[in-house]
Amino acid sequence: VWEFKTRQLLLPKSGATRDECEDAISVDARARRFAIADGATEAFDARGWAERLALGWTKAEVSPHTQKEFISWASGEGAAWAATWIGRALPWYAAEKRRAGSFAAFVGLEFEEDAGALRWRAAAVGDACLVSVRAGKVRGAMPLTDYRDFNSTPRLVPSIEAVATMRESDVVIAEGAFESSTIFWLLSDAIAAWYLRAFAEETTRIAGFENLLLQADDASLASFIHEERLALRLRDDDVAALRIEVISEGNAKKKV
Amino acid sequence: LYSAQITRHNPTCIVMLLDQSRSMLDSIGNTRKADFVADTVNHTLHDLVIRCTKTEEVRDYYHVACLGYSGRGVASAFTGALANRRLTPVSQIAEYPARIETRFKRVPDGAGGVVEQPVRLPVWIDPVADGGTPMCQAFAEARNIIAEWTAAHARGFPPIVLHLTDGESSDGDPTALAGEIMNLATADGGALVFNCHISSRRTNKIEYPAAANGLPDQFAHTMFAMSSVLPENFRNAAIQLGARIEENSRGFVCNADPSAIVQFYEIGTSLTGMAPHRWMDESV
Repeated sequence: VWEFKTRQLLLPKSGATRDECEDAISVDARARRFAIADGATEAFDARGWAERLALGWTKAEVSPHTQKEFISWASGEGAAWAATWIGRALPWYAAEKRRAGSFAAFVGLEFEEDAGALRWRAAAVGDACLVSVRAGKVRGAMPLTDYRDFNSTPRLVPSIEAVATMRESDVVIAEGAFESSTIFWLLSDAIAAWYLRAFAEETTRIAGFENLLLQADDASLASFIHEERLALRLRDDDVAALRIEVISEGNAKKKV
Repeated sequence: LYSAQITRHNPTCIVMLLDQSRSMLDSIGNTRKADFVADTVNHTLHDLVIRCTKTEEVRDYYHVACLGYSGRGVASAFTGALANRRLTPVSQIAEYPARIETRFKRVPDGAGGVVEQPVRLPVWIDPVADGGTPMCQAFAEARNIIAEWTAAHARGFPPIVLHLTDGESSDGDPTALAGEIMNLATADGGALVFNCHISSRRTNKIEYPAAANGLPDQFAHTMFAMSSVLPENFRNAAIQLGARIEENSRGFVCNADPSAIVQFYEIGTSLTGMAPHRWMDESV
């Protein structure tokens, strides 16, 4: 038996309201599935598509295990998203934007038990990242591993209107055995770049951020993010951060 | 400089000045200059609206004026509900095209051929070609609009004037007025003036020159002097769009042909953080 303890932060860019945040987080600890998605701001219904993808991952009957399965799964999600707009009377500009579809970066993580051991599997497209940390060190990151690799033209998951443009090589799949004490982070691009850079520079800011997240101190977290943006260490973009801690039954009981 | 983020709370201003004098009846390619320019400006306005569209809402990242100048004087070039409007938020432009026309776009049919697909094209500007070329009056009106706008938007991305003409001014030398516009500034830099001279003749076009030597005549020298040096983000957009650009290239095209006119508007509206849009590729 494993327990999944999560903490999350979803914050819009400066000057925007929470309703305008185009990042999405979905958690289903019972299903052991977790996801974040980052809607492309210039796309139609970016928030709706990001939410659909993230929720679709955690609620999928069978999660995609291969690149081909991922594209098939994304097509299904895209069709379901498009169906929510069918029959809606839209002004000319919205109708035109809708025809081009929507796009989002995505990373999903799931855990499976195998003969008493826990394994993880992740799928990612673009610059939404999974970072695993153990004993104060980054043990792995995907699909990007270096903060200098982030740019303004990542590959994205398209909705059904543009799904034909998606290539299997756009999808990065990774898996591995869970090692005790590993913390998994799902991060949208700006905070992922910040996180990897802060680790590379060995600053204490990572610990400050993590402590505020663990304390669920939303006001202090918002203030922390604001300060990092002002200092130009964090790009002013929506922030989605999900921290996942895995606790085995024995450890969980000890904590109780 | 020229790096302010364009937001609803910190918009920018675009002033399009259109020569609508009688000589715009002359042809360029297979069409009249006035028709081609009206089409290009309608596509540019369409692109600005689409860029500002967030699902069902159009956010006012831009305030736009379209001024035509001709024998009738200087007036808003908008027709329909926006006629007589000077500076208009882009959401109003989205709401009030004069009409929406249906045209046909050629798209691949998936079997090696092409099919024509209907597309809806909103129209805000109709072609006009009448009388003289009161360029100074037009620049004076643009200066007045930009002076008001910069006074109200001290932190905004600096205003941009996109001026298109096919000939010399009939009411004097507009150089000083263009200089007055460039001296109107926000905290992010002086207003930018870009000029496009279009020609019916198949003469050598000169695009975004960095120096005046090599320009064909005094009028071209005047237009060069009236044109701002392209800031870095415009240079980058121009390079992405395939233009040859140097560090001190000015926003000036001399003897522009149809593709250069389209590119002029694409570059001129490729504001910071916004990817240039290639509507010409859509083959409407």
